[in-house]
Amino acid sequence: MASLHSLVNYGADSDNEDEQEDRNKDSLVEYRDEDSAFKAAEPTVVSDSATDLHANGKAAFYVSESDDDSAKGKLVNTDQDEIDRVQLPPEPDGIHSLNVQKKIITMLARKMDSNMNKILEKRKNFRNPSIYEKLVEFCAIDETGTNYPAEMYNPKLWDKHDYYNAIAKVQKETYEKKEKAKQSRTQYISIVKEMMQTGKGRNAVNSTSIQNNLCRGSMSSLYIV
Amino acid sequence: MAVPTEFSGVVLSLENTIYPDEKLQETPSQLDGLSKEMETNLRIAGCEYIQAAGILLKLPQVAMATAQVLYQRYYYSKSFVKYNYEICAMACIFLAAKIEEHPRRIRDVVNVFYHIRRKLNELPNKVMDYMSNEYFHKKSEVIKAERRVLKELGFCVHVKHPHKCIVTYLKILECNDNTELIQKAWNYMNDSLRTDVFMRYTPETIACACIYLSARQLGIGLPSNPPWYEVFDATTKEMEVYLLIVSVIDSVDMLIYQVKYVVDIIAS
Repeated sequence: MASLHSLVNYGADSDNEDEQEDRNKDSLVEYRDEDSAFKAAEPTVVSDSATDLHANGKAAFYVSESDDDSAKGKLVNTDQDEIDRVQLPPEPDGIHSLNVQKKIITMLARKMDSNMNKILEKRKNFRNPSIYEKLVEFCAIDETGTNYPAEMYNPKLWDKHDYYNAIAKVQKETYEKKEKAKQSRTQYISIVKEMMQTGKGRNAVNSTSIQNNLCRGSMSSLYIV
Repeated sequence: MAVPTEFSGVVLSLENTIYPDEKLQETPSQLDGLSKEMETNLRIAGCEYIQAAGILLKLPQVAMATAQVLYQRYYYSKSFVKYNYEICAMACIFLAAKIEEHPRRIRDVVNVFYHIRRKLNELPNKVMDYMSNEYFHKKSEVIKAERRVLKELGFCVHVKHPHKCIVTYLKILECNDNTELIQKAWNYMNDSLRTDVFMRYTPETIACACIYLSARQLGIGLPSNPPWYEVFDATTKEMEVYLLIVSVIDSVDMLIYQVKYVVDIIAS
C-alpha cells in the first residue's frame, strides 16, 4: 500500500480516502459480514492489491527506481517530479442524493446473480446501432471534444476549406484546368498538322521539316507547362 | 510414435482484446532499439493525425476511436522502425471508416493527410495531383498497409466503444441532465485514446474511470459507499491505474507535444 501511495499523490486527504475505498471494496466482498470480520481481512487484501500491482507491472512504467527493484532495467523511469505533480481533486462530501446510493446498493445486491453490463447490453435501445447519433444529438455532446488546453491540442483548428470535400473540389478543378490546357494544345497541333497535310503535294520536304519542328516545339512547351 | 499436430484456433469475438502485460511492456519497436519515449510520441502523433483526419473527413467519433485502437494494437505486433507510422495511420482511418459504415475514398484519406501535414508545418496550401506518381505511390502504400493491419490483427477489427456506456451510466447515476459532466467524461475518453488503456481495460471500466475523474474535477458527489462503479464491474485498483495513466499523460503532454513536431519534421 505504501508503494501505491508513493505512486499517486492525491493531495491532503488522500490516505483516508484510499483506505475508505479499500474498505468499501471489502465490504462488497464480505457484504453481510460483521464489521470485525472485514477488519481482520483488511491487511491481507490491501497488501495483495499492492503486490499485484507490481507483479502485473501495470504501474511499473510509473515506478521510480527506488520503489521496485524488479521494475529496474527493463522499464524506463518516469520522472518522479512528474508523478508528484499529478493531483486529483478531493472527493466532495455528501452532495450526492441518497436515492442514488440506495439504487446502487440494490443494484449491487442484484449483481450477485446477474451482471449489470450484460443486462445493459441486452436492452433493446442500447443495442440499436443508431442510438449513438441520437445520444450525441440529445445530450448536445461535442463528439470530438478534448480536455487539453487549446494551445496544446485544438480540434477546432480547421476551417471549411480544410474538409475533405473542399479539398477534393479544389483538386478536381485544378486537374480539369490542366486537362483543358492540354486539350487546347493538342487541338492546335492537330490543326497545324492538317494544314501541312493539305500542302504536302506542293512541297513535301519542306512540310515534313516544319512538322518536325512543330512537334519538337510542342514537346518543349509541354515540358514548360 | 508421432505426436498429433496441434493447430492454433481462431476465435472471433466482439469483445475487445485485452493484452497481457508482457506484451505491453516489451514492444516490437523497443526490441528494435526505439526508446520508450519515442515510441510513446509516435503513438500519440499517429493518434492525433487520425483524430484530425477523422474530423476533416467528417467521420463520427467512433470511427476515429476504432482507428486509434487499431493503430495502437498494430504497433504491439509490428515495429515503428519497420513500418511508417503515417502510412499506418492512413490505413487505420481508411479501414475504420469502412468498419463504422462511413466509407471514404482512399483519395480523400491521402488528400486529408497531405493537407494536415502541410498545415501543421505551416506550408502554403497545395493539393496533390491525383495523376501524379506521388499520389499513386501513397495510394498503393496505404492499401498494402491496410492489408497488413488486417492480417496482423487476424481480421478481428471490431472495437467495442465506451461512448454509449458513459451516457447510460450517467443516466443510472441520475446525472444525465448535467451536460458539463457528460461532455467532460466524453472528452477524457477521447483523450485517453492516445494511451494504451484500451489495450488494458474493458470499455466499461474506461467509461467508469472517465466519469469518476470528471465528477471529481467538477465537484459532483457520486455514491461511494459502496462505490457506484462496482455495479459496472470496475474495481478500485483498475480505476487507480487508469487515473494514473491519464493524469501522467496529461501532465507530460506538453513535452510530448513539442517532441511530436520534431518527429513530424524528421519524417517529412
